[in-house]
Amino acid sequence: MSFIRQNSKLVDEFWEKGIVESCPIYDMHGHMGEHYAIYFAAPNADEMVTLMRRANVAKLCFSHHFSLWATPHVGQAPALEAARKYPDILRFYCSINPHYPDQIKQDLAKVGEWIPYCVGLKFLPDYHKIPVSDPAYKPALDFAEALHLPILIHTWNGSPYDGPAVLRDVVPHYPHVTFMCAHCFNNNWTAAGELAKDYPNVYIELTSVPGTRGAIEKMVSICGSEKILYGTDMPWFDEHQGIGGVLAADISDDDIHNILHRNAEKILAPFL
Amino acid sequence: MHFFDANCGPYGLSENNVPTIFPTVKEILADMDAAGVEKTTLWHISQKEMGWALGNKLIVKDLNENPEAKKRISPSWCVVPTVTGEQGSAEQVVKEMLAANAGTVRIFPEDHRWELYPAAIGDLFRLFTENHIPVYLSVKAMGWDKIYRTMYMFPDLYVIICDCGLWGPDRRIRPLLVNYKHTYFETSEYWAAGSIADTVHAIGPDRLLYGSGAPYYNRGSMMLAIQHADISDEAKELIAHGNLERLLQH
Ligand SMILES: [Zn+2]
Repeated sequence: MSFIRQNSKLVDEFWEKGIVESCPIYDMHGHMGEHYAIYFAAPNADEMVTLMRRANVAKLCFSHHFSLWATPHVGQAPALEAARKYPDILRFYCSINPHYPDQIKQDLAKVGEWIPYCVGLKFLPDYHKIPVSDPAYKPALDFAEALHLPILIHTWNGSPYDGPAVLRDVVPHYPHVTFMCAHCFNNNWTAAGELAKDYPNVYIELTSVPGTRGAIEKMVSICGSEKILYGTDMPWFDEHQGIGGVLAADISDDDIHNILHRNAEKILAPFL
Repeated sequence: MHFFDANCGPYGLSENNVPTIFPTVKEILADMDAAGVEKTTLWHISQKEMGWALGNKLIVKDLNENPEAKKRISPSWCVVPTVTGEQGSAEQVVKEMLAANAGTVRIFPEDHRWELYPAAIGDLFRLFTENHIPVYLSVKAMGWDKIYRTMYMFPDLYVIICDCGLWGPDRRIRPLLVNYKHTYFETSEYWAAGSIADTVHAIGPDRLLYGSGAPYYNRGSMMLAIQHADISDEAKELIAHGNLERLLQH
């Protein structure tokens, strides 16, 4: 008898070794730094990298907590510093805080020189309480469209800031942006799958989803595993918890490869 | 390595026909087999929705009718304050639950309209403590403050804190683990990176229990997190099954 799921060589290998050389992990949604509400066992780059190497994480793309919330005090400096220290594993998103338009301007002017440490932008509309469709996000969206950059956007079902309806308004105007919808519009898996199916430049990203029974299966059945990315909110959630949640889903080994690394490898190719 | 799930349920048909994935113990056993989980504790949705009398009866009946389920499933017993006389004396309650092989207790003070204070539940909790019978305290159902008050009033009670929420709960759980020696903690929502190893290094491996949170969650994600946590093999065995087995020896 196997553990997690029966009749999958890939699952058995992950169970035995914790890592599978032919299936590296691309974690497309991480953070870094202390958070006021949470004690993290691994809040910073050194501890995070140690944990991620145990899970064969090839790349973590992250936004630093301080850049997202303490924007005017630190800008993108802590993220850039960490990515420079661990270039083999860390890449960062330039965090966009729509309450600080001058900071956005300054940061976007530097994104060109931060590439390949920087691989795109990160929006957190539900927390910043400004809809993605608001003019405050327009400079960042226009910039990403011009440079064909990926944007990781926090998305949540029913949110007036980043719910399915808001994204359906915005996406058609930016065909060259790769939209990565974080949390798959938790927990409207149908809306997430349909948006990813309807637009070639929309992917859905799994942070906080793996482990939830039936969610991954549902989305794979709508948009296919080619449109789904793996993520953990590292250090919020554990890599092996997330990987275990993907392995436990009733999908094929090929689907698992797509989700854990193949799709992300394509998106990140220009930056690697 | 084998796994004993410390947080599974509810099962059965609810008043709203939700959840439907575990209508009977047969589906639970199939799900356990699919994930390679050997044993589980379990509660019935009717224990909450219809009350202790029907709920306890249904789960006992289901297990008695299925020998494999009886071997692999440890039922939880639902109780209410004894003062109304509806459930018999505290001694009778404990006798009945042990006769039914119920290893743990599930309570629903909010739904069943009673208060978690010594005046209401003191006699039962005293007997549970004497008999080393653990009581589930669900963070999702009662919140941390009520759990803290309960532990303050019943410091020797054996408890399994469950459904802790996905945001790292260490600032809330660790004071309880440090101050109350019979506090245990299941893993179904303990997802924070490196947390299992961090807790084991800080307070030892004896107080964590593998819990899946099925049916809402699948069983595999926390199995892999335990299997590859940065802790000894002995610690993994304790968390996967050993601690719960010890706890249920009463
Ligand atoms: Zn995030």
